[in-house]
Parts: sequence; C-alpha cells; structure tokens
Amino acid sequence: MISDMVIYTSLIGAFLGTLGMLLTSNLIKKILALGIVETSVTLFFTAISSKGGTRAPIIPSLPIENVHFADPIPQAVIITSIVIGFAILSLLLTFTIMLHNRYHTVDIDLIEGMLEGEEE
Amino acid sequence: MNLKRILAISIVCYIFVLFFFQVDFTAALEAQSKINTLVEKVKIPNTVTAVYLRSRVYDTLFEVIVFSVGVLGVTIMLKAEPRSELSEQTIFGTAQVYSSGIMAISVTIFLYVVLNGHISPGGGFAGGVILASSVVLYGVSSSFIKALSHYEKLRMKILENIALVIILSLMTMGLSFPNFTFGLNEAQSYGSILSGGVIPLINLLIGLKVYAGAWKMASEFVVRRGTL
Repeated sequence: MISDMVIYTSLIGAFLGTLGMLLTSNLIKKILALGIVETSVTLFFTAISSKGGTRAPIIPSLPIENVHFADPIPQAVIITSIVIGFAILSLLLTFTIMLHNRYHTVDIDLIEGMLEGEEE
Repeated sequence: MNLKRILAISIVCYIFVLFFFQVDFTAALEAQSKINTLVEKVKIPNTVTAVYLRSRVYDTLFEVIVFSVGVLGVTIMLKAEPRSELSEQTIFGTAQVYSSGIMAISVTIFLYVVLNGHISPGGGFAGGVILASSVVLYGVSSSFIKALSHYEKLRMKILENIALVIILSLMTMGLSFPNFTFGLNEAQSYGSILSGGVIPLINLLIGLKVYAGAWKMASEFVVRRGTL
C-alpha cells in the first residue's frame, strides 16, 4: 500500500522535473530539474524493490528467517545510477561555467541569439 | 515558440498519463528465493553487495570507469578557464576546531563503512562520499589552501590510478573465474570481515577512488569560482 503511494509520488516528481527542464530557459534551473528527475527515479526503484516486503535484505545469521525481505536487485541497480548522476551533474555544471565565461549569461535564449549573430 | 512549448507540455503529459494508467505495478515480486540463492552462492550477509560486487560485477566495473571519465572531463574542461585568486579566508576559531574534529571522525567512519560494507549497510561509494564531503566542509569553513595541499602531499593522483588498476584486474579475475575468492571464505565464520574474500579490499579501493574523484571535482569548482 505505502509502496504504491511512493511509486505515484516518484512519478509526479519525474513529471514536474521533466516539465521544468523543458519550460525554463535558465541553465542552472534546468540542471536542478534534472537532479529532481534523477532523485525521483531513485525513489521509484526503491519503491519497486519494497513491493514484496520492507525488511532490509541483510541476513545477520545463517538460517534465513521467513520474513518479507525487500528485493535486493533493484537496489543494487540504482547504486550505479546515483554515482553516474553525480558525475553527469558535475560535467553539466562545468559546461555551464564555460558558457558563462564566454557569453556572461546562463539564459539559453540569449545565448542562442548571440550564436545566430556570430554566424551571420 | 509558443506552439513548440504547448506541444512539449502535451507530449510530456501524454507519456506520464500512459505511465499512470497503463503500467501495472501490482505484480508481487518474490524476493525470498533470490535472497536464498545469493546467500548460498556468495556467503555474505549483505545481499545488495553480493549483487553488485559478485553476480553483476560487470555493471560496477563500467560504473567506476564512467566515473573516472567524468572526473577526467571536469578536470580537462576546466583547465582552460581562468583561476580565481585564493586568499586566506576569515576563520572563526569554533568552526575551525569543529570542522577538523569532523574530518578526524569521518576518516574513522570511512574505514568502518568501507570495511563493513558486506556485513552492514554501506560500501565503497557511500564511504568515499562521506570522506570527500567532510574534507570539502573543512576546506570551505577553515582553510582551502591547507585542504588543497593534502592532495599533493599524499600523492592522491598516483594512489587513485593504482586503485583503478587493481580494481580492474580483480574484477576481471572475478569475471573470468567465478570461483575466485582468495580462499578466505572457507576458513572464516559467516558474518566476519575476512569472510568476504576480496570484497572488503575492492570496497576500500572503490572508496579511495570515489573520494579522490569527488574531492578533485569539488576543488576544481572552488578553485575556478572562489570560496563563498
């Protein structure tokens, strides 16, 4: 029951983040929205893994008790996504710093206008 | 411009409405049999570590490589940008004492989280981020020049590369020979640190790698844009 609620919450978060990425013209805000989408995907996978049970999948002693453990495989998959998301956010911020040093603005519409002016 | 915007909003709404009403999330996942198989095969308590360092080690291998490439990209791209002047910050005595204390504690926490990664929650990635964030806190609140100097003093660059090479070779060995455990598994009881074979060693090296990468990225940003 609670995992269904968390699944729908994470979907709403991903929806809002995608809309934010599309609708704002500020590069820093776009990167923040991408961070929201990444966090929502992490939450989605965690909620999926807790469908069968909510106990953490760590077995302290060997005869395994018969309680409802969470699924370990989505959690192991999402560990990859967290670190890669960190690297991607850093790279995007690097590109933003380069653009700001060159054009002195982070507004994507203004930068596009300047690029068209350069080509002519 | 306006038409494009409306089109984008409607496409996103359509995709997410499909998600909400069409995808069936109600299928119950049976985790017990997976956990039984994992514990029987790998013989460590933390089954998440068992997945990402033994049965899905290929994923982790390329994850470490992608992280290294990301760090390399940030370093190379920012090399062309102008550096800002690093001056001595105004230091509050209390903040200096507390941030040094937090750094000293976090080294211990790093070793605990990394070496117990296959027994309790934790692992290499979490431990590396703990150490890096405490060093960044020390640099921002006390003295950034002092925090920068440890990267040269401890020869982190060489250490990082050695860690990457050892991780690559150990993981490739684990991939090619599925029974490769250094033989520590049989001698130790279930749940002790040495019962993991090479898993604590790989966790330690991944922790060092993530720490060096995260600190390098953060320090590059601070060097280019200045402290607060």
